[in-house]
Amino acid sequence: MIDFKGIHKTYPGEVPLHVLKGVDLHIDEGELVSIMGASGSGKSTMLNIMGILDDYDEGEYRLAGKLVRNLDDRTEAIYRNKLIGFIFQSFNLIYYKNAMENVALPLYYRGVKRKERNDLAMEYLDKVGLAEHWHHLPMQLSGGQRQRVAIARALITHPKILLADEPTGALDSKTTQEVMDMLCEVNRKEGQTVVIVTHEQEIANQTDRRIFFKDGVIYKDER
Amino acid sequence: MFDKDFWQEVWETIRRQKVRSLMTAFGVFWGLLILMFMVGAGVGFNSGVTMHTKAMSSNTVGYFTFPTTIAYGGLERGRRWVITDADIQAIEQKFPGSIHDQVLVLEVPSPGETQLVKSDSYSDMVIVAGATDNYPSISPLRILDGRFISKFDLIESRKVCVLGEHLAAKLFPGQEAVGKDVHLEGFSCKVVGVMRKTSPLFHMGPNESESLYLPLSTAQLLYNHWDEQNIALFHLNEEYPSDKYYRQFGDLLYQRHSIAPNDAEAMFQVDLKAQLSQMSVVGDGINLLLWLVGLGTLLAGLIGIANIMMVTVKERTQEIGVRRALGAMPSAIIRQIMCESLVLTLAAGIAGLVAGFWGVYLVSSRLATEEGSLFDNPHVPFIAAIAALAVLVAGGLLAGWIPAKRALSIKAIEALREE
Ligand SMILES: Nc1ncnc2c1ncn2[C@@H]1O[C@H](COP(=O)(O)OP(=O)(O)OP(=O)(O)O)[C@@H](O)[C@H]1O
Ligand SMILES: [Mg+2]
Repeated sequence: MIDFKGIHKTYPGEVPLHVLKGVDLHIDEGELVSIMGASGSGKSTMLNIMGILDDYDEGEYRLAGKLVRNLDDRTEAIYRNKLIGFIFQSFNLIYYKNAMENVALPLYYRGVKRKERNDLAMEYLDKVGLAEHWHHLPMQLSGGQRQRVAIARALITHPKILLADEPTGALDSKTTQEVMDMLCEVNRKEGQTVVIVTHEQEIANQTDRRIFFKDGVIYKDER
Repeated sequence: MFDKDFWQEVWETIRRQKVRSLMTAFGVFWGLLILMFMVGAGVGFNSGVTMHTKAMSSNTVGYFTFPTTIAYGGLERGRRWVITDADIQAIEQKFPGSIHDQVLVLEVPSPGETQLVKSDSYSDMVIVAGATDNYPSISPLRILDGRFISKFDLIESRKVCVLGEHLAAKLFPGQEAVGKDVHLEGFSCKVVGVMRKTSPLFHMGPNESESLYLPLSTAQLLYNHWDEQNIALFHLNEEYPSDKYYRQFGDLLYQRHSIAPNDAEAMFQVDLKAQLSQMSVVGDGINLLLWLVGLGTLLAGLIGIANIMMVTVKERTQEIGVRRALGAMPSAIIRQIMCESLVLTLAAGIAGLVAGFWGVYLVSSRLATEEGSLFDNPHVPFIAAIAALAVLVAGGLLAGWIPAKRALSIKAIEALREE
């Protein structure tokens, strides 16, 4: 599903920062993976490349068998919309849209009609336990609720891959567990590939595979 | 093709971001409104100048006599003098076929001097003048009631008069003046009309809204000045261009009355052609000024829009990043933002136009009932209004397009990171 071969990434700048120094990684369909590592070690950078939000300098990245390199904007958009669901630490909900509309948004870009996408959004809000809060704006929701809205939004397109960058970083331990349960469940029930970047060992322990990151390379990969 | 879903999304975006939308809309609305007022004022002013002067054939010379200020030819300074019928004949003799028509005024008992005018119950001190029937062709005035002095009034030296509206209101408060009698020293005359001075720029005889006008011949006879006038305007025939002849006529008058050639104050001489072109230069200047102010406001509106854009650019970029992460096509994002800007600026712009047209119309209709306004029929040329609208809409589109283009040109993750 995800295939990294010798990926290099340098952030340009006055002092260029060589963040990824030849990452080799293969993740199969249906895996539940966590990525750990010190702050600044390049975890987010790697996840962003996986999600085609960022590009890389050297190496080869294959996503579902297709080489991802210098794609044009349209193709990138299609890949993101069809294959990938993203969950961010800071939720990234659109502040002036209510919960239902936020969840429905990816379907808008798939050309799904308003009525249908709202119905489906309600279904997914129900799955994350927020059906009653459908009309609330993000700022009227708690952090955990916001992240659940974001999860519903990531799930609604049935992405093959779910990428979560510290999804519980802004949450307390109780809501953290709720969010983790949800991510584990989609992996178990729907067989979606889930990649979670985290700092917390407890979260990593709930995944099937733990990848440790150090100095721009993978130094431990345990199942 | 009307894509209901798409327009709904556009509308929701506008509606939900109230502050941004309202501020943008206000910039456009206000810019257009003020521009319309400025342009309307400019147009009104110019057409006012034209209106106030169009009655005058521009090939016209005018002479207003005043007491001499220099002693000359054995005569003392401060001597009062007037233009006599013999003077006019002398002009016609020396410049045969020059005078096409003449408008004459005589202030009685003497220029600038007021006299007591009474109705049965009220009285006032006013200036009284005799005028020829063609006087309104030169001096912009409106007959509010009745008529002006007629040819027959002149031929028969009738004891009739036309009152300025303010004088009429004083002498006959709450009543109709026409048909009533007014009493001057030693005689009475019947009011045949009430008039209003309409131009602040120019009046030939004494202020028409305040004064009493008699037929010239009546005034001449009753005050024993049977061949005199202190103001004379001559419409000249084409062979006698006013700019060339107005001095020559004046010199002749000076000679005949033994006035020092360097006594400029003894007579005000005017070439209306030169006067008119001066006025239109002023008119053009003011018009230009108003346009500049209007364009300034338009620019301010644009800057306002740009400012909103600057303030919201980060927020927008971030939002575009989110949409991109969710798999939005760049073209879909651009299309949406452009339509958003278009709807917003167009709606605000049209509202501004309508409000502007309406406001200018209101002012214009109010002015129409007011005396002596500098403005005539202020209005905004449709094409100018549309051009201004186009500029603002283009500005609005640009204000949407620039940040969108930028947010799309950077990597999705960079757009997302914008805080
Ligand atoms: N856009 C950028 N430009 C320059 N440097 C960057 C950029 N993004 C990240 N970096 C740097 O690259 C390094 C890796 O960043 P990255 O966000 O991938 O780390 P991380 O492992 O996710 O850290 P954290 O656990 O704190 O989220 C960091 O030193 C960071 O400062
Ligand atoms: Mg990170």
